[in-house]
Amino acid sequence: MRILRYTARGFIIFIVSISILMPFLIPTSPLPGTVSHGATAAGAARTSLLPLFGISPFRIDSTASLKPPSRHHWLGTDILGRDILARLMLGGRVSFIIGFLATLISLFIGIPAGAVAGFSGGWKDRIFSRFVELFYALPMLLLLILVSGIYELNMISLSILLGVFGWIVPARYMRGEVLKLKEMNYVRYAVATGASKWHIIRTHLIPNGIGPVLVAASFNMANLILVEATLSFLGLGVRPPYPSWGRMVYEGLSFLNVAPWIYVPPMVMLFLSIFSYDILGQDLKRWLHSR
Amino acid sequence: MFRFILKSLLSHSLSFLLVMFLVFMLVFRVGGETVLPTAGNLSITKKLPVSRPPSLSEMPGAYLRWFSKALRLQFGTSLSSRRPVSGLIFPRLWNSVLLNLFSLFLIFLGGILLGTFLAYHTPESGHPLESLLYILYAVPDFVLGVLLLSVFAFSLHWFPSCCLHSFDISISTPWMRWLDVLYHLILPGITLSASGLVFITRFTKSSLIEILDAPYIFALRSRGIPARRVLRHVLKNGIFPFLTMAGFIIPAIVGGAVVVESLFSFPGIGKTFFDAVLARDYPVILAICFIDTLFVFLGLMISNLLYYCFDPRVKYADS
Repeated sequence: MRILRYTARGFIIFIVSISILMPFLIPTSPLPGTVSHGATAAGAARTSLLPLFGISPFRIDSTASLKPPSRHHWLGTDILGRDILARLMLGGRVSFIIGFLATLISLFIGIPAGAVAGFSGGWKDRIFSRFVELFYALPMLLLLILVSGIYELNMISLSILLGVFGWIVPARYMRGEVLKLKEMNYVRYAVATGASKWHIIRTHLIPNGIGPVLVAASFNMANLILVEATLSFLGLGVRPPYPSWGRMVYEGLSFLNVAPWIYVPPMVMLFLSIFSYDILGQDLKRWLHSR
Repeated sequence: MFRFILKSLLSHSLSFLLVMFLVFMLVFRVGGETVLPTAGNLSITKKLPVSRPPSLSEMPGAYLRWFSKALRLQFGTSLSSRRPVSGLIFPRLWNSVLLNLFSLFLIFLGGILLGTFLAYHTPESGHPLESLLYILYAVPDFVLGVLLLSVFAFSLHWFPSCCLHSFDISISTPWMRWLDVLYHLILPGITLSASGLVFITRFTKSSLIEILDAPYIFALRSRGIPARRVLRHVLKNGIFPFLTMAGFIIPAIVGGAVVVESLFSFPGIGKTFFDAVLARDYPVILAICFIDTLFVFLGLMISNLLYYCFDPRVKYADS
């Protein structure tokens, strides 16, 4: 168990630093003239500081199609001759940014909504609870597939969509915490001295009740990354030429026996990242309880 | 009893009506116009027939008309294939139900067995099996599916990689046909049940550990009653919470079926939904959302009812 925990922490640090450093390592957007043929591009396309990672994840090379791992392409190439390692790195950045942004958006909507519903009580709370009930009965994945199947989504709009669909989790936890905190003496004192509702929510309720919400949010982040990968796997989600781990697995399906180096690395990375955010949630939970 | 059923029926029907309204709005607000397929004789100058979604003010009326028809299972005709939707959906729905029942069976059988084992045999530091469950929990279902496909279908050739039946004329007796279907269900069934299995195992384990600590179990043990008969008491008290869990697991399974069915080319309702989204075939999309949500609410109601029948505490609270 301890080994699993250290692996998870290491992986999160790794993926965050890689995501931040990405623009110095490889090109992060497709440039004009990325289609090249053979030897001309071998040295020319190394644009970054480190020669090792200078290969563009978008560069199509018809002479290097479906090459197994080698010295030039550490993890091999796909059918269009694009480097798998570069695509894997950029895909990790896409997945991390979408998961993080969507979680942030869900927190921004969920925390105020849950706090107001819990603190005000009455009809606001009744409407909120009913809404939560209905939300859980919605065929969520079907609707996400519907929306992303009809619109062409990019990274930002996909994270907004996931955040809007995922806000109910932090909201529910925030409401539960506020219901507990409402009975505390310091909150009652604040009410009695005539402090405004927003002041109480901002200075007392949110700072004191945010712990379990953050724990839930980190579990939710694993879930959102999974949903993004599932959508990409179905060919929806982020559109090409941008790589995404789910989409890479989907592309590798056509070469199931021929080129396992296309779909095995993204599968391993997906597993590791979902696993790591799960463990992160548990660590947070434990830390919160031991405090 | 009767009053309880009536009350839950009413409140769930109202929720169902509201949820489907949200879905209906979303489908048509997101959607937009669909170009209808024409039979032959297509020229560029001729205007293509288009199905127009209802405007915002027409929405409630259109919804109620659609809903009252949907309750009689009339979903109109499919835009892309020009066939009645119910004729398109119901044979595939049956296939999906078969797949889901099979994976529910796997989930509950495996989860309860594993959970009971772990509840009895977990040392302070955690059983190695538990780490394995953590790992299994983090594997997305399509990743597991691709792994199973590449290992058991394409490398070892133990299981078929798609469909529900073999193209084999020698399979003629009904028994053989059922065995053949079961043989095709194994890989998608395992893929679909992995995350639910972990969930139920954890749930069983924690609820059994709680019961094992209870004073009445201590009393049984101290009277020297053999472990097997104590286990009977434990299971009898620990089993009822599962009935409510079924209500939570079923919707997750239906959602996951889209991915698993697409991966295994399984002729089920999830794959039909995916194809309908790509074709913007609204009658089919709405019909599948309707059936899916109906299943969710039926699951909730059945689990409520079972809980009411088996847990005396709920009965007291009601009367």
